[in-house]
Amino acid sequence: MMKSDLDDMAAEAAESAYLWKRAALGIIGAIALVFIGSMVFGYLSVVIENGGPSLTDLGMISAMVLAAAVVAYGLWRLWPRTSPAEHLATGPGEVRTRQRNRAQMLFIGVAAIMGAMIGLATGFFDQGDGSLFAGNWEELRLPPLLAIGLAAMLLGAFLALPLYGFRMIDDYKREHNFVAFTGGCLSVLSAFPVWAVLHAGGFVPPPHAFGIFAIAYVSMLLSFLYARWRL
Amino acid sequence: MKNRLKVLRAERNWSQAELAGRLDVSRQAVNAIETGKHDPSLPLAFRIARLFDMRIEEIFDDEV
Repeated sequence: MMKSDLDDMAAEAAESAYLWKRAALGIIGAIALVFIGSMVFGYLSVVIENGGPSLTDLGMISAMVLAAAVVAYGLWRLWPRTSPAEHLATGPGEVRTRQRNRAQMLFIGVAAIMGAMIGLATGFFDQGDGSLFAGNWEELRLPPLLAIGLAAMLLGAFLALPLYGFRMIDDYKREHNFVAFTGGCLSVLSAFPVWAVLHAGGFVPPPHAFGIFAIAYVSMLLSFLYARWRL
Repeated sequence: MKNRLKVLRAERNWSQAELAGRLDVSRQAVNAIETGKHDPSLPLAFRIARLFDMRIEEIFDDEV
């Protein structure tokens, strides 16, 4: 192993730690702010329904706004602004590599925030007793406007982001993703008929839409991990 | 496929990140090509050859 390789590893570790800190702070901060914001709006809607705020209500709302301000200030203070590799760059190539890493971390951060927002919104505003896992679709209930918003976000998360991601990555990582998507696709193509005939034979419950989705997702993830570590 | 990428990079005292940036690929891709785990596409092979001002067959050798 050459000295430049060791330097590479150390620099990459420092850069990774810096990027992960930014991603973690961004995700935690966004979730905290979305949570407090939802609390404020929820509290305000109850106060308006009950006809005007009392002194206690004003105090509660002020406290929540103050909490949001504290979170925002904490994020501003803790946010790492300069990369540890910023002063170590020796050429234009390293600058370009840092930009690429940042763009990828930003991509992952946006995907995580979208996932958190979808999860929080469905959790907070779920009005029915249904469950995706149990398959009782008739009892799943969401406000119509929220459902449209979530559908748009899901299209963004499962369609737009992956397509954009494919344009961002290089041939090597694209190969990993091809293996992952192939694994997911082949699993669904084989799992559904296998599940159906096993059900017909009385071995398993009937095929379930969420089950098929989960098989696709998990097999895609496993195929990606295989490609990442073995190819 | 064997290649001389690591040697050429060392001659210029470039890190993998530096070479990756100059080729507009990830550092992991450079590492995978150097270790023979990944063969570059033809456009990338041409970029590598141009960067080092050499012919492709002077860098990559498939006779192994």
